[in-house]
Order: sequence, then C-alpha cells, then structure tokens
Amino acid sequence: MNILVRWIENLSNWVARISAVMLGLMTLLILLEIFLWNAFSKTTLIADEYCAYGLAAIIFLGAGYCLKEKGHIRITLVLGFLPPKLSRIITFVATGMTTLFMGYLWWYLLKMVQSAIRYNSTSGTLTNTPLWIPQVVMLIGAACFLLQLFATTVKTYEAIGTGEEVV
Amino acid sequence: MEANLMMALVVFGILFLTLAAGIWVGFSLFIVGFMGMLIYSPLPAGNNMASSVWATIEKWEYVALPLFILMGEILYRSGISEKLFKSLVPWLYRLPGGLLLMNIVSCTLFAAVSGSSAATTATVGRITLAEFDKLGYDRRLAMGSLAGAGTLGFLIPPSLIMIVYAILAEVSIGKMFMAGILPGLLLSGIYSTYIIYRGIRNPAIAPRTQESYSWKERLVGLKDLAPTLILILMVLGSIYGGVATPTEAAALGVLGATVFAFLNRQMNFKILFECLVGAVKTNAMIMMIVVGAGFLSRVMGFLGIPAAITRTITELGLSPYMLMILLGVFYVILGCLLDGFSIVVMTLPIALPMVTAAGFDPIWFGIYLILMVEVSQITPPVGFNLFVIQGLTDEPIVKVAKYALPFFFLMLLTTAILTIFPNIALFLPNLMTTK
Repeated sequence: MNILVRWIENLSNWVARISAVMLGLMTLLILLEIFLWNAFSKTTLIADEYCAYGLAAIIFLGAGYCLKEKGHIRITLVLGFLPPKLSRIITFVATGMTTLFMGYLWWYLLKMVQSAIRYNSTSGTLTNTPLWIPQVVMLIGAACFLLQLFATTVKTYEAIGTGEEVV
Repeated sequence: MEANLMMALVVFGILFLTLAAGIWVGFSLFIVGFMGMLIYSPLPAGNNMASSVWATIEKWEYVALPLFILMGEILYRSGISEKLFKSLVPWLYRLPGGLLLMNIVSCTLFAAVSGSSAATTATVGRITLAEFDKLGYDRRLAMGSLAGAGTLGFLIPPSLIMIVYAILAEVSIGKMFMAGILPGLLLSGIYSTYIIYRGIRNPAIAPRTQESYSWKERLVGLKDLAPTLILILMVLGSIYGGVATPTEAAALGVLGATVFAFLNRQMNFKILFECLVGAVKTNAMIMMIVVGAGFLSRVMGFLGIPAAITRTITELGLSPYMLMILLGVFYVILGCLLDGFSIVVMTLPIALPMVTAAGFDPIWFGIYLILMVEVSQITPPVGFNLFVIQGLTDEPIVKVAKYALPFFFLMLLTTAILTIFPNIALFLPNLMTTK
C-alpha cells in the first residue's frame, strides 16, 4: 500500500510540474498577444480561449499536489475540541467520503466529455476547437486528483494509529 | 415559515456539519449543493454538477487569478521589499512612531503590486520585524500594525478576492480594482495617524536611532522605490487607462516582476520554476473553493433560497444602515471561523440580492465585503495574517490577535465611514469610461 501511496504522490508532483509549465506558457501567450496587438495590430486569435482552457487544466492538475502539501483549506477548529483519536477517526471518514464524492463527480465529468465527443460540441469561437480536447485534459487532472485523495485517505487511516498529521 | 426558508435551514445545517467534520471547504460546498439538489430538486444532480464545474473553471477572467498569484510569488523572492524598506527609512525615521510607520507605508505600496493579504504581510514582515527587534521597538505595536496593514493587500488593487467577487457579482474587475484605491488609502491614513498618535504619547515605543540622513541621501534613495512604482504604473495604470484587461495587466506584472528579480540577481530559472509551482498550488486552493461555491450558488438559485431570504429581510423593514450593521456583526463572527475566500463565495449569493434590494451599489458592497474579509484576517482563531505573523515570530495566535485589536477597531471605523460616504469607493470607478 505504501508503495502505491508513494507512487501516487510522485504522480501529483509531476502533474504539478506540468501545470507549472502550462502556466508559464499561458503567461507567454498573453504577452505575445499584447505585443502583436500593440506592435502590428495583429492578434493570435487564441489567447483568451486557450488561456481559459489552460486554467481549467491547471486547477485539477494542481489540486492533487495542493492536497499533498496540505494546501487546501479546511476547518480544524471543531476537531480540535475532540479527543485526538476521535478527531483522527473523523478525519479518516471525512477524507474517505470526499474521495467517494470526487469519484462520483469524476464519473459525471466523464459522461460530460463523452457527450461532447458524441455531439461534436465545439467552442463556437473562431478556432472552433472541439470541446472534448480541453475537457479531456481536465478529466485527466481530475483523475490524478482522485488518486491523490485516495492516497490521502490511506494516509489518514494509518494516522489513526500513529497520530501523524497528514492533512 | 416559508418552505424556502426551511430549505435554507437544512442546507446550512448540512454545511455546518461538513465544515465541522473537517471536510475541505470546496468539497463541503459541493456536497451541500449536491444534497440540496438530491432532497429538493427533480433535476439530475450529477450532470448539473459536471456542467457547473466546466462553466466555472473555463473563464478568461479567472486567468488573472493565477497570474497575480505568480506575480506575488516572484515579488516575494525578488528582493523588492528590501529596496522598498531602504528607500523609505530616511523619510520616516524622524516622525513620531518612527519606523513603525514603515509597516503601514510599505504594506500600502506593496499591496498595490500584490493581490493577497497573506503575501503582503509575509513579504513586508520578514524585513520589518527583524529590523524593529534590532532597534528595540515595541513588539506589540510592531506586530499589531503589521497584522493590520498587511490586510491592505486585499483592499488595494490588484486583489485576488476582488477578482473572485467581481466575477461572481457580475461587475467589472477593472472598476472593482479602482473602487479599492481610495478606501485603501483612507485605511492606511487612519492607521498612520494612530501610530503617530501613539508615538507622540509615548516616544519609547520607537526609540530614536543615532543615524541621520541628508536630503541628498533621501532623494538618491528614492531610486530604489522605482521598481515598485513602475510595477504599479504598469499594472494599475494599464487597467485604469483601459489599455489592458486585468488578465493582460497581470501578465505584464509577471513580466515586470521577473525582470526586476533578474536585475536584482535574486532570480534564476530554478527559482522561477518554484514560483510557478507555488502559484499552481495556491491557484488550485482558491479555485477549488470557487468551483464548489459556483455549484452551491447555482443550486440555491434553483431552490429560490436567496430570493426567500431577501423577501424575509425586506419585510423586517430595516433601515439600510441597520441592515449593514447587522451584516457587519454577522461577518465579524463568520470571520473568526472562516478564511476570506470562503466568506465571500459562501455569503455572496444571499447577501448581494439583499443589499442591492436595499439600494446599495454592488461595487460598493464589494468594497464593504472586502473590508469584512480584512477583519477576518486578524480575528482568531482563524485569521490568515495572524498565521503568517505567528510563522515569522513564533508568538501564539491569541497574543498576535491581541496586539492587532486596535487595528481591528480602526477597520470597523473605516467601514462605518465608507458606509456613510459611499462615494469614497465609487468616485474612481465612476470616472472610468471603459468598462
């Protein structure tokens, strides 16, 4: 199990690095657009649209890493009043439920992408990008996030005994 | 009781339970929205959730968010705050309260390039707090004023919370930014006045140094202010002039910050990559809350909850001022328990229809709400500026909160002034011709 958890955490690191590169490229694309527009009155036509897709991608691609680094906000105030063991059990149950919920959400995201493919939905912009392309990237990100949630659940379970702080 | 109000009670009950169980805020919002739909609505919850996620995250306007976060990450490591400090010392050291004013002035200036309160507090604090200790300044006032002034990061544009507010409330991000400037300067002026007053009453809080500076040194030192001022001009100037959208201005800001950091020899590609990863992480944190809130707000709309609450409040026949005071009390309590982003996204769907029905301008209400968020940053047990200062000094949260208490009251005073004179916020955005 521990090997799997470590493997997933490595994956989270890697997809976070990929999204860091994507964020860098998004910045460059906007700067290129500004430069082209002001210097030559030309436009890339895609800056707005593709940066929005980029944002959709990096949110989920970065979410797993953020979870691993304890970056997501949660309220520990009430848990702090409970006996430590009980609070760790509740944390495990809550993390497990969140993972199941994310699994459910992922299933419906998958169905959304499937119907975008089936009906050939496009962006309706000049590029007429098929919507499934950026949506698939989001779906991959959401899958990595789901894996990290699973790994975190495993860790919170182990933490019931060890008392280690994992979220 | 109205059926919708009953629904509201159930929804908030579930929300309270999920939050108390320590489920991440974004997911709590999601789960509550999902349960609300499952119980009360015949519409398919799963499909709605998926389409709501996509609709919320695929927005050009939100791209400004990771970019401003990235700019903050770069500036934190750029050495710009050391330069700011060096150039301001010769101007401030002789005033009553002395360099304590540095916290206020540096935070005010730095807030104009940074989008977040925690980043402003951390960036300014890691320079000033160490200096103050060396000079034997009053630690209580040093930490308190930093906690208070650091919150300006959200009020003075660019501001991450303003971007989120503007998109959810459907007002222009540019106008929202401009609306923050005068209230930000007002709050900063009130803080400074307070510190000067404390300095006159008891000069021992800020012992005089032996150093002195000639006018030539002062003027030459101003060149170190240039990076900050140029960045402010690039980012805010381009938005105000209507030359750039906030997202474009943010990209320019990233470029400018990177160039200065390289010139300062504080940057290489490895550090730049760390900044990018850090920005991805913070962006994911904020956007997960926004995505969850987007769905919950959609569900509440389906269920007619905001409308029902607005009706109920209107029937009470409160005067607009009374409504604002009640809301203020509510927000201060909420601010003790929640972080700023959660407060804005959770309350907006209900509060905004209510206050616009009472005749308030949505842009003005945005500024009011951001002041409430600033208050939440320094109220324990959950206050992010307190966490930052705790990290810098190892003082317990409750002590830092106590030192910050005078500044808490000064914020409430500013909010009251702003409520009586709403034009302080609305003057600049009304001058803008572009949208």
